[in-house]
Amino acid sequence: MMFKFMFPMLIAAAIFFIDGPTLIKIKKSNKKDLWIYLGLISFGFILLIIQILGKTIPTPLEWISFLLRPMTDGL
Amino acid sequence: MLEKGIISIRQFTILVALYTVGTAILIIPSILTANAKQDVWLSGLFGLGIGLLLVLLNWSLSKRFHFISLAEIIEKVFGTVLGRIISIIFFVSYVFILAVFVLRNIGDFMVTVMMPETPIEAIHLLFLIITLYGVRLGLETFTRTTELFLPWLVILFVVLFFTLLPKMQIINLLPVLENGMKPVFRSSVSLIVFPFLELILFLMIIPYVNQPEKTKNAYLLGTLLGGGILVLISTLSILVMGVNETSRSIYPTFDLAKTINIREFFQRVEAFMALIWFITVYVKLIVLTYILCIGLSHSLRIHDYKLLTFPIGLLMFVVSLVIFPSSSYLIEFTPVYDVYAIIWLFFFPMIIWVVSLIRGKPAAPH
Repeated sequence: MMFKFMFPMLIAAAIFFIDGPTLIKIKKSNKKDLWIYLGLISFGFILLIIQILGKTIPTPLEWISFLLRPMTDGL
Repeated sequence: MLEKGIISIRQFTILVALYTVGTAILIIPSILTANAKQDVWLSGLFGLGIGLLLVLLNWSLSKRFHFISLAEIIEKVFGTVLGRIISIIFFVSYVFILAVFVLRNIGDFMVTVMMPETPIEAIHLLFLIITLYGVRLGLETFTRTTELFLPWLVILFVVLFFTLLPKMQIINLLPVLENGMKPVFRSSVSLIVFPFLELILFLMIIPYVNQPEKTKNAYLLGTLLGGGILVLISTLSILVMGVNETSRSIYPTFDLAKTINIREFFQRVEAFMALIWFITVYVKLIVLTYILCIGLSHSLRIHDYKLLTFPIGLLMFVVSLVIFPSSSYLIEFTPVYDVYAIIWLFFFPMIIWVVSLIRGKPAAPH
């Protein structure tokens, strides 16, 4: 149980350890890049935590099959 | 330019060949035998021929736009704003899904046949760490790595082929064309979709070859080598194991390696042979992740693609765990995936062609 909560924190620490210096460097010069980075990575962490808590995330394939249903029905 | 590295024509050929073999080597024999039965070699050769034509078409699209990358081509054709939106949709909804598929394939393989008690998360994490490490080091570095792997691959393939020689039975290939040509063509469609259509993604790599105008033969040769290996391995499966066993198996190539037995001494080498597809799957995954990072950072106008590696890797990790709720879902999804891939990899480039023909020949960049 303990490990389950340690796991995302370990990943976050590792990512911050590697990317941190770059992020501090672009904080002034490149605000847009920083925001895209933070947005994507927090989205990833939210999904990871939902997954670890045992809730099911819908698979993206479900949407693809839904969109393509008119074309695949004939097969 | 997002990438400063330059690769040579020979390295490009190796990259194309190993990418074509990729995950296909594990599962293509059973996909092909499902319809074509003992005529696998015929259907494989036919698919390879069509695959080469498609590659030629891809290359001429690249040439028409003076060898700029696919993301730039989309922007040039559809205009900057619409082009950026379209290419983001393309990379997120197709390339990302494909990369996740590849990751899940190797995870499923390990969990099913080699390490049944290891959680799949651990395998995905290990595979992703080396992939992201390679992507961050850049195109030039990981291409040289694949060049280093090549001799081992060749040795393993030669060993695989010659140790199976005594087991081959030509009678397994007879009767030729028992059910006519129709099942042969149907099987080759699966081979064309996976892996030959996916080769259009190399339009993202061509700009970084040192002489882009000379890549035509390298592109074709790489496809021929990779596709040839796939046809050879499918035919080997039929020759050694027969139609029934091949089409029933999930990972026929692995089962093929299991049958190796020379005088009760040289046997059970399948774990060693698995090195073949660890390397090719690694190459495919790293090329896809790299293309995803570089394409998205071009469309999002991010100055350094390395910034995107960890967010994309994290998302790949999470999605790879949930993408197939069960293994029967994958079988159900396969026909849908074929349509999806044909839309993105065949009709989408066709639309690019048509629009670019209407808009006239693009000017040469300065």
